[in-house]
Amino acid sequence: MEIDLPSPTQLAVPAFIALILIEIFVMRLRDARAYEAKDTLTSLGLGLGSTIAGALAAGLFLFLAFSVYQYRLFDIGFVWWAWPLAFVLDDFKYYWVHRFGHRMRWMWAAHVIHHSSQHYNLSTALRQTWTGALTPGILFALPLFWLGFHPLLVAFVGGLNLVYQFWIHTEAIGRMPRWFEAVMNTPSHHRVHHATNPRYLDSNYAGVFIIWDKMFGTFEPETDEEKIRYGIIKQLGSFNIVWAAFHEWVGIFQDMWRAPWRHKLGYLLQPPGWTHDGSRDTSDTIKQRWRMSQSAIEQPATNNEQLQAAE
Amino acid sequence: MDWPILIGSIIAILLVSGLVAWLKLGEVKLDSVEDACRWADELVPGFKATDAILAADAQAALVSSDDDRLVLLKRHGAQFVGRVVTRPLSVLQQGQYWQIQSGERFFGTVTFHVDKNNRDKLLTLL
Repeated sequence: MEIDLPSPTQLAVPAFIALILIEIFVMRLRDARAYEAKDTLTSLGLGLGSTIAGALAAGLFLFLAFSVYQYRLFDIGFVWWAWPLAFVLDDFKYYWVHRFGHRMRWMWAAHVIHHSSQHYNLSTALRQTWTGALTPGILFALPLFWLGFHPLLVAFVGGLNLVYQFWIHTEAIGRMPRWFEAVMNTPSHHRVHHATNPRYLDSNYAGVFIIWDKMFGTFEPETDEEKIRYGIIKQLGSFNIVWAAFHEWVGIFQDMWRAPWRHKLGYLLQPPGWTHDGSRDTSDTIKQRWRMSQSAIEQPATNNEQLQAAE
Repeated sequence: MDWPILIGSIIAILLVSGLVAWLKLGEVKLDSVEDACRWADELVPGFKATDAILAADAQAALVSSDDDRLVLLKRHGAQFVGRVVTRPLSVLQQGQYWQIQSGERFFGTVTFHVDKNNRDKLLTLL
């Protein structure tokens, strides 16, 4: 049975625009720095570019998906239970694609666009990749097709996943009820993911269900102790949308060109910031330095307490 | 994607961005030398700022550190962004305006309008 499925993201566009307008007026009263015209224009322009790039890459995605689907283990089709099951499995897949998207520079080159704003609002959610098709990200979905989930069904639930993630890109919502925060990805969890504060780096990769981060040790709760700074370690400093979309690819090319032969692949497969001579910071080195500075602060305090107790 | 959707999307993008500009959202400036130092510390891992020269419009700053490094700050949206710049700096002076090159094409040049006191301080740092 073949069915004609709509695109959830396209259907949601009017709601996206309405919610952005509401957020603009809400944040105008709370923090007038939440939105800025050039940043908003860049985010929305990048979102439009990503829609065009997605349409161009759709053929490649479907070709690969159906190539694997013809060797499927089970004939699941469009039976009712396939939809929620595919949604959960696709979200599990999303967690790993997203995690690799931060830990492998090749995939980071495509994903960095989403983190390139120093602002965090609903327009930031629309900064989506232009170059995802140039990465191995699609490979993570292939087991779903091999199991027997129809490619159109997987594309549909993937669209729903993206629609869910829109509303979590906001500072207008503080914390959701405790039971919801425990299971679902929320604005609070996702603010942590977009933060550049060392304590928050490389955490909360979830799409819809935060349980994956809790299961695989990448969960970090938001704390009120520290103001969140958004963006990337080396902030872009430009509103040029072509540069925002391609700057990391240019960086990879330049690094690979200059590197000795035996280190060239490292600039593609190692985490962002990795260099063969250790001359740059990775998120790991920044986090490690921060942890050391924290323990240095805490140690004298503990020593003082011990001295006072001894007196 | 067909043409009406594409054109409609472009119009919507311009209207929303225009609304943000019309509401004058995102106005920001550096409050003080301490504020510029805090920005530099936060933007450059391992940087420990000690002093800064603020542009007269408080939209840019040159920040020095305890290990004699310099960070060039400029406004970016409603935030600030910084780059470590190395001496000798590439500077163009036009009257009271000083243009400092970041050395990066897309980061660009940062323009300072400084008063006499800050001019002497700036010359020392350069």
